[in-house]
Amino acid sequence: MKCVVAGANVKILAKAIHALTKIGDEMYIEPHENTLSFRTVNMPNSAYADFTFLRSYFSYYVYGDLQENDALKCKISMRSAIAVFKSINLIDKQVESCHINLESDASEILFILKYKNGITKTHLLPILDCEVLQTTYNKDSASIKLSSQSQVLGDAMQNFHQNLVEITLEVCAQKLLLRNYVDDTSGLSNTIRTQFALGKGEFDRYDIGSETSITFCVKEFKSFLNFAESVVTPISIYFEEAGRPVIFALKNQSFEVNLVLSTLCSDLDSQAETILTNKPQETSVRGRAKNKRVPKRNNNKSSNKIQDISIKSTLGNDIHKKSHPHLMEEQIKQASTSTEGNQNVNRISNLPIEQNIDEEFQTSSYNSDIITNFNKTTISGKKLVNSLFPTVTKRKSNNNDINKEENLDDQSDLFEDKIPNSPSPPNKKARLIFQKCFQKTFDPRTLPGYDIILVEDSDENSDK
Amino acid sequence: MKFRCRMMDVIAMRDFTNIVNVISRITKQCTLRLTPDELCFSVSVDRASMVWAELTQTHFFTEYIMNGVSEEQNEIYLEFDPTMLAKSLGSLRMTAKSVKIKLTNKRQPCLTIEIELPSLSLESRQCLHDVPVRVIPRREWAEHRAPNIPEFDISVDMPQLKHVKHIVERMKNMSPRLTLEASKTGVFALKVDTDSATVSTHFQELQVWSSSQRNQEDKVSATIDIKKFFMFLAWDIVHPDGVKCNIVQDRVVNLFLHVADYVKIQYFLPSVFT
Repeated sequence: MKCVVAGANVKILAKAIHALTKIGDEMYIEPHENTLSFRTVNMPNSAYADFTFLRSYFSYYVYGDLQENDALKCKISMRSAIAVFKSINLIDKQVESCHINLESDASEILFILKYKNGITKTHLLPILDCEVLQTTYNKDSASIKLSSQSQVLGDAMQNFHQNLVEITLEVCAQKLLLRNYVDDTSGLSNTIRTQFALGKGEFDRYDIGSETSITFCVKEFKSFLNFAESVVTPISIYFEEAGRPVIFALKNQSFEVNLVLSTLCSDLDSQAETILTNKPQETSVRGRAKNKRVPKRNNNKSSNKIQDISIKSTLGNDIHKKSHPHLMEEQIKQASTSTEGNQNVNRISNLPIEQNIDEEFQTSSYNSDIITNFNKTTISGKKLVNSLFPTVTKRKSNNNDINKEENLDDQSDLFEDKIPNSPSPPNKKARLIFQKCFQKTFDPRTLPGYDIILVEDSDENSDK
Repeated sequence: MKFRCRMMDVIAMRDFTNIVNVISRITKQCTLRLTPDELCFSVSVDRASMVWAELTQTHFFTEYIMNGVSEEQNEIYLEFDPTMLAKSLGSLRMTAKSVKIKLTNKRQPCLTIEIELPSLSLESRQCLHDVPVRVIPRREWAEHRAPNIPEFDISVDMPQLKHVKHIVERMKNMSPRLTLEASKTGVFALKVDTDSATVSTHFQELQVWSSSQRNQEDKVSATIDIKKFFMFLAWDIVHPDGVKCNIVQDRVVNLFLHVADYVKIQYFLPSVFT
């Protein structure tokens, strides 16, 4: 694959790379016959961004041999990519054109920047893998479709606190509300609550099936918004309801951008009411989340969670069967060209799910995502713990509600009572609590249910 | 208890935002006293009043309704973090059409700031901020009353704050303490002492309002914390019509600043001993 990006378009590419940097740590480059895609997914698999440049964006684009379809796909580290486009502001003044070369079965991808003063800089970015990032999401099936000038949302976001983590977007018949998401436990006495209302008239398109609200992370959205504002392109927003992904899209004649974010799965009014049925557990989990600990700890945690599910599934909730190792129900499949076996596993595990999608399932899917995330990226401990635990606690209280609705018998209530006690007090060390596991005489096979695999290993490298 | 007001004027909004901004840089906790005629921001450090800013409500607000606890005690005292209020008022930067400030009870007492912003369509955008506040009970009111103003040894006009700021900015790097000196002849001096040098700047021909000195050459001076004095100079942003420097020999420096007759700011700096 060979392409040339000329003049002002180089700056767009640079901005796109910068936007991707704020989302993920690895960049997937995927050339097609007429398009070139740059994609990334963030560490907890809760955000996915795709920048696809169309043929008209390039002044020269040739795909090469169509037979070598797979050989041209590659993954590079984001840090190396950002090094190519370091100073955004100078790029359009100094750079004349940017050439991107990708040979089949090469170990490096070439970025050649030709400067106006005659200098040519060649960047050789090492290819980490030949992976493809595949996602399935459907914008057309979304019940809510909005579209507005990017500046409208940009102005709105300026009214919020700089360090805002999550934002709630609510659609009503006549207006759209943006609110900063205030965690139940964070205490209200020291936070400003902000609500921003945009009239229906400010949207070019305002199709809402029903009134609903979603909560998502601000960080990724902001980087997308910055890009949208710099290219002055209208933003389209597609979503259905809380717990289902939200898709932000930009489209013009030379490129298409999609950002898929997972949304917080909780009751609509969880912000207004503090329903915490599992108070003790809540606090203990929180305490540990703050405790910035490393991989081993996380493994312990994930096993905790798995047990949690197994208890629930014996109660007849059958969450286990429905759970699947994927984020956001739309699956992000990480299919590697080399490990096809793994791919099959993924597919199989997906099959039953697509048949029973119901409300209850959504709550459980969040849960299982968390587990796979732990397995997959145990090294990235700190980040995960912080970003994911709030959702765990949310999910907890939901499940309890569901259980109550189903009028489970006394025995199950007993179980429910036991669950809050299972996690250890936050101040004790893991080694102390799991003392028995570290003893030489300990044989895990003596434990009941040791051979039941609750969740398949999602790490694609595991069978190498 | 009821409080609701509305600002329409762009200049009033800008002034109000500036005042809150300056206060937010000084402290993390301030008191707002509401009376039928004025709003008073007050900042105290260790129970001693440091800033007392009175804003005449008629200048700032087109609509102003307040009802205190009772007829006799028609006042409301609120305590809050001014940085939160300043951040919320940040939304006014984008040429707001109007802003309403209300005292509300949304699971806790809040100052609700309702900002109407222009939009691309007919309906305007609306931005709502709830800043949590604490309503101060009556038994604690005494602690938040207006400060007593002592009798000064000398009272002189200050030179333009802009010029003073330039000088103090540099002096700040030399010493943590600054000596203010004034005499009946209208000379005002800023002085820092270091081991190797004494630096002083003299301003002349300033208006002297009152003086207890008999002799023309007698000087009144007080040494104060230079950082606190520098913070005061940030008030330059409200474009004061006059700033007076009042000194009680070796005890306290009181700075009084006013903008027309609608903003009056008292600033107290206790003297420090070397």
